[in-house]
This record gives sequence, structure tokens and C-alpha cells, in this order.
Amino acid sequence: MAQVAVPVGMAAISGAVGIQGAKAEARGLGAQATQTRMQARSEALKYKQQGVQVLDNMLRTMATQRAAAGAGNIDAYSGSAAFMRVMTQKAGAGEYYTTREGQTIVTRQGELQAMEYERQASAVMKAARNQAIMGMMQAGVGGMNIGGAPTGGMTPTTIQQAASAQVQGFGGIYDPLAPGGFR
Amino acid sequence: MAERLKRYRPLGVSIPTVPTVDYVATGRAQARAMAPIQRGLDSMTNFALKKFEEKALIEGAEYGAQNAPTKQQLQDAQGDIEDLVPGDQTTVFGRAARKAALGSMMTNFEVSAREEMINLQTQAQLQDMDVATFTEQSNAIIDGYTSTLQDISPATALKFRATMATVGNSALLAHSKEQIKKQQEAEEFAHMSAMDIMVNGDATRGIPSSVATIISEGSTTTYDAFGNMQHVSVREKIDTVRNNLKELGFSVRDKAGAEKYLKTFDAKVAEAMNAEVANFVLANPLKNLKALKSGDIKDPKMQDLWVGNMDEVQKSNAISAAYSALSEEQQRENALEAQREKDLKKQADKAYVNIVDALQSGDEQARDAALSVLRISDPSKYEEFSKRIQTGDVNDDARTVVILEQQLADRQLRSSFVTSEYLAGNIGLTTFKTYMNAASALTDKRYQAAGTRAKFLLGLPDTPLINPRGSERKAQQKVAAIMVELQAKQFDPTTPEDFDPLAFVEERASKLLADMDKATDKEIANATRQMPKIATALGLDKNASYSEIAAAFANTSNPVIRDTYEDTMDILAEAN
Repeated sequence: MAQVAVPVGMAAISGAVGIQGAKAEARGLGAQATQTRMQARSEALKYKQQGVQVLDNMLRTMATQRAAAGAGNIDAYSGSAAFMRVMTQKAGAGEYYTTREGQTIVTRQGELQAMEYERQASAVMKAARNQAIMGMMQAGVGGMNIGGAPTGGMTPTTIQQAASAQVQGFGGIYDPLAPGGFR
Repeated sequence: MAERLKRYRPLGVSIPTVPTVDYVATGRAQARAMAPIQRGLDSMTNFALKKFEEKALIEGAEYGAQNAPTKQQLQDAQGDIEDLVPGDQTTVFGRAARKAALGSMMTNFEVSAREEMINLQTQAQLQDMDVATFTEQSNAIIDGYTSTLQDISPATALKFRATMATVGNSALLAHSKEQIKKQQEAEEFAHMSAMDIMVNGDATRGIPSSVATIISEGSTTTYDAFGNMQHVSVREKIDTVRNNLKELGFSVRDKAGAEKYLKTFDAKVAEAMNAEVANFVLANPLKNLKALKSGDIKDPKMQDLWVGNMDEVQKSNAISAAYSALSEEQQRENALEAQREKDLKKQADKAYVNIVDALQSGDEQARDAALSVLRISDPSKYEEFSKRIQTGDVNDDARTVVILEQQLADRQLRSSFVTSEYLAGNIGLTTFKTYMNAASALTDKRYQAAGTRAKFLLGLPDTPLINPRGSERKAQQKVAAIMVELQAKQFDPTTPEDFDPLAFVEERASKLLADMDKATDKEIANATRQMPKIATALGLDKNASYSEIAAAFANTSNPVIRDTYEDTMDILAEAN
């Protein structure tokens, strides 16, 4: 019995230590995800600013065109002047929407990157848990493989149950917003 | 107009780039910090597993050894005997237990098989079992155990068979050697027995020795179916037997024994020839010795032996043996004659005493019986007594009575003198009885006085000693020896009448005294070793000389020292 309990217990401690390491790494990954979102937001704002500049530029060009038309006694709202303005609007709108797309892309990209980090964190935790479970199972099976006099003892099933119970004590699903990073 | 109106001029505020912080690296670094701990714990787990494995190996081996099924359990088992074997093939403990159990079973089986093999060997020796049967039974033992093991572990069974095959082969080899040895011994015994019978014969079966047969038969002449004569001399027969003995002797390992039989045979041949010649000579010594010397022997058997089968040396030895036999015969006859005379003398003396006793007591029946014995043993004395008894009683001769009185007064009276006077008719029966009693009493007194004399001569008082010293005990032993001899003389009917007990005692005592006075070398050595002790007891230097010690001992008044060392000083005095 001791040949099963002792290795399983030690493997459980080892798994707990591994999970603590994984938690730290997962916390890093969570923070990195948050940072990525912030960076994406920043980049999106840059695109937004660029879009404002595009709009400003378009309005300024259109105003110039109207002013020039007015100065030249040209009807600013018809003919070539109007066409020129429309063309300005077209170019400006195209450029503005490009900035809007850039903003969207950057935001989405950042979000995706953040999600990747979170998935990594989750994977790290899962790996640590699995490793802990497998370590305890291996220890248990190793202990069972040692065997003993036929006076009763742990079966592979009971070992697995014991290992699972141990892991659940450290476990949970990673949640950067939850206290301790897990829920 | 447009130029005139102020427009907002942007300051160029831009969105700063958010600096990148590597939180992942930090997390990984933190995780890495846990890795050594985890590795250490894993190592500890492995170590614990290894230790548990080692423990399980030992415990499994012990468990397996303790719970190994016995041969009886296996024999009694119903169904799968594999279930009886502790352990399994899945765990370390199980494998160790199974291995130990199999090892234990194999050892137990081996012990049992070896025991059965020894029993088989013993039985084989007792029953004189042939090798084929032994092999068959030996294989049956091994197969029986192997088949049981085969059902449990073929590998163990194979190992067991290999081990036991060696044992079986050794047993078979030993049995074969034993058989060969037995056969050899039987053959040798048969050969030795044959040699023994040839040389010594077998009295229980009435088989004479070859030598006796040959000599008694002599040379033989036979005729075969074709009428051809075949003459076999004694010498040829002896040589044939001797060669047979040699051939038998070659096949036995006890060469000394075989050689002994050959020598015995030769000696017996010589002895038989000598005996044959001696018998021939003893039959008629003068005539036959002359015949042997001349060679003109009438007896055909002796003629054949003497002339045809004995060489000069044998003849010379045979003549010497014949002379010896003659001499021995003569001596034997003389001895027989002397013995016969001695017996007659004894009978006569006894009868004489009985007649005198009968005359004294008046028992005529006893007197006549003694006279009839005396008639055979001493006819002349018988005649004297017969005549005297027939004459009847007479009156005493006064002169003879005076002589008898004088001898009695001088203590010299002898019963023989009284008897001779009675036989001569000088005294009557009453006087005879009176003086015979007086002579007998005088004799008893002489013996008694001799005993007292012996004590006196050996320094002992007439009264018993309460606490005798060493020298006195020795003297008592000597007196006792003299008295035993004296009593033997007194009651011996052949003791002469004039035997003087006093003289006898004096002679014996003087001889014993001479022997007693001589201290033995051992006694002198012991006494010499005690000198330093005596010197110290006397207050002298332990290296003091004998003369100093003797002087001090003579002057000492200490009774303890005197009593203790008196004997030792006597011995030292004699030695110095």
C-alpha cells in the first residue's frame, strides 16, 4: 500500500509544483493578452486619427476648390468644379475607409493575438494538470507494478481516482479576471 | 475670405505607440523556477519507487520462499497446481515471490529427490540391483519431480532436470562402481576361498586340502580309452596345484595374501612330506630309518614319495623331522610315565592318609576303601597294612612307647614314624591313635608357630595393628603371602612329613626381607626429590646435603616431622 501511496503523494506534490509554474506562465500570458489588446486599441486610434486627417484633408481640398472656383467666378456647384469636388470626396472617402479598415484590422488582430495568448495560458494550465495527473498515475501504476503480498490494496482504479482528486485541488479553468487567475 | 478667417491649426498630437512589455517571458521565468523543484520531486518519486521495488524484491522473495507449496500440497492439489504457487508475472513482488517459490520448490524437490536417490542407492546395494533397473528407477524419480515442475514452470523444470540428471548420473556411476567392486570382490573372494580350500581344505564340508590329498594318494597311474598309460607323479601334482594357486593369486589385489597362501602351500607340502616320512619312521624306527638311508623301501607309497618325488634337501629335512618326532614321542612317553607315577603317588598318599584316619576313627568301611586304592597305587604299602590289620591288635612295646614319648617331648614326633611302628607291630591301635593325634596336633602347632615367626621376622607384633604405617602395611602384605603359601603346604597331601614350617617361613621371610630392604629406583628418586622439603622443615637450607639432613633429623624432637619423613629418610639412608 505504501509503495503506491508514497509515490502518488510525491507525484501529486510534483504536479502541484508544476501547476504553480504553469499558473505563473499563464498569468504572464494573460497579462500579455491584455497588453496586446491595449496595443491594438492604440493602433486603432492611430488609424482613427489618420482617418480624421484624411477627412480634414478632403474638406480642406474641397474648400480650396470652392474658394478657387469662387475666385474665378466659376460655379463651384456645377460643372468641373463640382466634378472636382466629387473627385476629391471620392479620393478622400477611399482613403478614409482605408483607415477605417486599418483600424478594424488592427483591432481584430490585437484581439486575436490576445485570445491566442489566453489560449496558450489555458493550454499551459491544461498541460500542467495533465502532467500532474499522468505523473500521479505513472507513480501509482509504478507502485502497483511493485505489488505486495495478497492482503488487499489499491487497484489501478482507486489510484486514478486518488490522482484526480489531488489534481482538482489545484485545478480550475484559467480566467485572468478571476482572483488568482482561475475559476 | 477664407484667408481672413482663423482656422484651427492642429498641434500634431499623435497617438503614442504603447511600449511592449514581455509578460510571457516573466511568466515563463517564474515557471522555470518551479521546474527544478518538480524535477527534484520527480527524482524523489523515482527513488521511492526504486526503493519500494528493492523492498518488494526482498519481501517477495521471502513471501515466495515461505509460501512455496510442498510436494504433498502439490500432490493433493485438485485442478490447476499453478494456483498453488505464490506470486505472479505482473508485479515486482509477484515475480520475486514466484521466482523464490520456484527456487524453494526446486530446492525442496532436489532435496527430496536426492533423498530418494540415496534411498534407491541403499536399496540397490542391499538388493544387489542391476544397473539397468537402477537407471530406470533413478529416471522415474527425476521424471516424477520434473513433470510436477513442468506444469508450473518449464524453465525451472528444465533446470531441475539438468541438476538432478547430474545427481542421477553420479548415483548411477557410484552404483556401477559399487557393482563392479562387488563383482571384483566376489571374484576375489571366490579365488581366495578356492586358494584357501586348496591349501587348507574345508573341514565343514569334508574337503581335505590339496596337499593332504596329493600326499595320501601318491603318484597315480591311469589308462585312457585307448589304453595309453598316464602317470602323474606327486611332484607333478604339487606343481599343478601350485601353478593353479599362482593363477588364482594373479587375479586378486591382495598380493600379500596370495603370496601367503603360496608360502603356506609350500610349507604344508614340506610338512606333509616330513609327516609322512616321520610316520613311516615311527612305525619301526630302526628298520625304517635304515631302509630310508639305503633306499630299499618295501612300502610302495613311501618308495614312490622318497625315491621319485623328494629331492635331497627335502629328504634331509624329512630325516631331521623324523628324528625330532622320535625324540618328541619319547619325551611324551616319559612325561606320561612321570605323570602316571605322580598320580599314583598322589593316590597312594591320599589313601595312606585315609587309612590312618580310618584306623583312628575305627571306620572299617573307609579303611577298606582306602586299602583298595592303596593296592593299586602302592602295592608294597598295601601289603604292610593288610598284614598288620589281619594280625589284629598287639601289646605295646615299652621301648617303642618310650621313643615315641621322647620324640613328642622333643616336638619331633612324626605321624609317619607312628605309622611305621604300628605297621611293624610295635604298638597297638589305641597307642597308634594317641600318638597320631599328638603328631597331628604337633604339626598344627608347628604351622601356627611358623605364622607367628613370620610376623616376628618381618617386624610385626602378634597383635593386630590399628593404624599401620607404610612399611608395616608392606610387611603385613608379605606375611599374608607367606601364610597363604604355608596353608597350601599344610593341606597339600603330597607335602612331605618332614616338612618344616618354621624353616620354610624363615627362608621365605629372609628372602622377602632382603627384597624389602632394597628400595626401588623410583622410591629413591622420590625420596631424593623430597630432600629440599625435609631440609626446609628441619630449618636447614633447601640445598643441604644428606648428611646434614640426616644429622638434623636424628636430633629433631618434632614428632610430626619424624612420622612424616621417617620412611623417606630410611630410603635415603639406604641410598646413601
